[in-house]
Amino acid sequence: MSTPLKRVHGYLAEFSSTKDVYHAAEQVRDAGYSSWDVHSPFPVHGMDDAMGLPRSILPRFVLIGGIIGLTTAFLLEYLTQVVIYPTVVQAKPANIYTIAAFFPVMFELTILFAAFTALFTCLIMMKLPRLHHPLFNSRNFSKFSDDKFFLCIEARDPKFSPEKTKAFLAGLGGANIELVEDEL
Amino acid sequence: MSHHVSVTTLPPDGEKLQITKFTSWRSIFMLTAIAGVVASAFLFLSHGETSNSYAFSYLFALEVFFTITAGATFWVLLHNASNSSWGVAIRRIPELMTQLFMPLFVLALPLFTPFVSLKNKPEFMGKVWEWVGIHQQIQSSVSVDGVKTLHDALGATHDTTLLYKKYGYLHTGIDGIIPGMDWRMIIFFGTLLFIGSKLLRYSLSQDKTGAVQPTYSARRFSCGMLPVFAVCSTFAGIDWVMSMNHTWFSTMFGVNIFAGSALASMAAVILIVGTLVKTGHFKHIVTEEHYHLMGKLMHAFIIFWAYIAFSQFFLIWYANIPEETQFYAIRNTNGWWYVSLALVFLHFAVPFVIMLKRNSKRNLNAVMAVAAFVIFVHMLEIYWMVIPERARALEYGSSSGLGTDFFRDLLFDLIALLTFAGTYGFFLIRQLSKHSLYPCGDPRLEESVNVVS
Repeated sequence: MSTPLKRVHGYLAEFSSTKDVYHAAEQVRDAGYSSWDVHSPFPVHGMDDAMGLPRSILPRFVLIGGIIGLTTAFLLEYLTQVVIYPTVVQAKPANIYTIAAFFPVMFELTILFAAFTALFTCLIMMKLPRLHHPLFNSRNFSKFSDDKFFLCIEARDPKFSPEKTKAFLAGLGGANIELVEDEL
Repeated sequence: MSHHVSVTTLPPDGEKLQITKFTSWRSIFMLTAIAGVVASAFLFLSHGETSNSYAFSYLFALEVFFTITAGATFWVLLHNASNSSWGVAIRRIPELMTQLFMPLFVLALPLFTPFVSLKNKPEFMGKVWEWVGIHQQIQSSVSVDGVKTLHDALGATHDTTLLYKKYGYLHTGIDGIIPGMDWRMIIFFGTLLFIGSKLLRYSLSQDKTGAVQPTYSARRFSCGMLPVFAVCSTFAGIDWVMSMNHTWFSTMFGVNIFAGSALASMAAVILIVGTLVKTGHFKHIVTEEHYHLMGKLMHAFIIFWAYIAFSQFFLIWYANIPEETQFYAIRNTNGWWYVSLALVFLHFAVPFVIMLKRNSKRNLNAVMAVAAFVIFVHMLEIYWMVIPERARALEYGSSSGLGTDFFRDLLFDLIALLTFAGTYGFFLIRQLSKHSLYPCGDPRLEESVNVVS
C-alpha cells in the first residue's frame, strides 16, 4: 500500500470569540497576506473592513438584472396589449397612457430578475455548489458551525512560510494551530 | 473600528450650538417671519376674494411645515420603539423639531378659528372647506325656535344628503360637547406636542444624570404612542386637506400624507445635521456612517411614497367611479397635468435613481443636495394637493384650471410659505441653542458614535 499523495492547504487557527478573530483578521490584513479567510458561525459585522476586502461587484450585476426585468415587463405588456392586439378593458385607452396598468408587472419583474441575478451571480462568484473543501479534513474545523471562529492562511499565499506563518498565528492568540492537508 | 471614539473623550456636557455662526440667519428668519405675519394679517383682514384666496395659500404652507414636524415626531417615536442605537447621535435634532408644533399651532389658529361659533366663522373658512360654508348657509335658514336642527336641515334637501350622512364627522361641534373639526385641530396639535415634549424630557433628563431608566421609559411610552400618532396624523390630513372637497374620499389619503411627511422630515433632519457639521459642530459624533444610514431611510421612504401615491392613483383610476376620480380629474387636466407628471419623475424616479448609489448616501454634499430636493418636491406635492381646490371653490372658471389671477395667487403662496419658513427657522435656531446638540448622557451614545452601517 502506497502512501497517498497530499498537498498542504494551509494553517488553520482557532479563536474563541468574535473580538479575537476580528483583531486577528486586522493583523493578518496588515501583514500583507492575500490568500486567507475567516470562518465563523454567523456573519461578523465589519469583518469586510477588518479583512480589507474590496467592495463586491455584485450590485452592478443586480442593477443590470433589474433594468432587464423592467424592460422585459414593459415590452411584454406594451407589445401584446397595445401593438399586436390592442385590448380595451373598462374603457381604458390602448396606448402609452395605459402605462399605469403595466406598473405592477413592471415592478414584479424588476424584483424577480434582480433577485435571480443576485442569487445566481452570488453562486457563480463563490464557485458554489462544491462538494468538498480541504478544510473538511480537519476534525477541529467542524466547530466553525458551532461556537468557534477560524482563520486559515493558505499555502498558495506568496508570503506563506511553514515556520513564520505558524508563529505569526500563535502570536495572534490562535489556538490549536494545525497544518491542514488535502488528499490528492 | 480603527478610529474608535470613547465616550470619555467627549465633553461631558455635550455640545452647544455656536450661536455666533447663526445670528445673521436668525435675524433674516425673524424679519421674514415678522413681515410675513404682518402681511398675512393684512391679507386675512382685507376680506372678500383676497382673504379667500390667501387662505388656500396659508393652508398649503401650514400643511408643508406641519407634515415635516409630524414626521420628526414619527422618527423619534420609531427610534425609541424599535430600541435603535444607531441614531442616538442625531436623535436630538428631531426631538427638538417636535417643539415647533407650538409656533405652528399659533400660526394655524386664524385659519381654523376654533373659538368662534359656526355663524361667525370667517368667510374664507367656508371657501377652503366648502362644507363649512354649506353648514353656515343652512344654519342661517334654520328657524331660531328650534324647529329644526342643522343636522335635520341638511337631510331635508337632496343636495346636502352627503353632508347629512357625514355629519357625525364633518361638523363644527355637536351640542357643545363633541369637538368639531375646528377643535379637533387643537387636539391634534396638543397630542403631538405632548408626545414630542415627553420624549424630549426623557432625553434631557439623561443629559445630566446619564441614567438608564429614561431609555426604558421612552421605549415603553413610544410603543404606546405610535398608534396615537398614526391616528392624529391621519385625521389631521383628512380634516385639513381631504375634506376640502367633502364629496371626495380615499381610504389611502392619510397614509399618503404620512409617507410624504416621514420622507420630508428625514430630509430636513439630514439638512440640519449637515449644516451643523459644515459649521463645525458634531466633531467625532456624526460620521459618514450616519449620513449613510439616514440616506438609506430617506431612500426607503422615497420608495414608500411612490408605492402609496401610486396605489391611491391606481385604484381610483382603475375603478373609475366619478366621486373618486374627481380628485385626479382636476389634477390630470390642463396645467396641473404637468405638475402630476413632474411629481412622478421628481418625487420618485430622479431621487430614487440618484440615491441607489452608495456614494450619494455617504457623501455629505450629495446627500444634502438630494435632501433639499426632496423638501422642494414635498412642497410641490402639498401644493398639488391643496391649490387645485382654490380654482374650484372660488369658481374662477378659467380654462387653464389655475385661476384668472394666477400671478397674484402665486405671490400669495410665496408670502404664506415665507411666513411659515421664517417662523419655523427662527424657532428652530432658538430650540437648537437651548440644549446640547446630542444626547450626551445617553448610555448608547458610544455605540452610536462608532456605528458601522
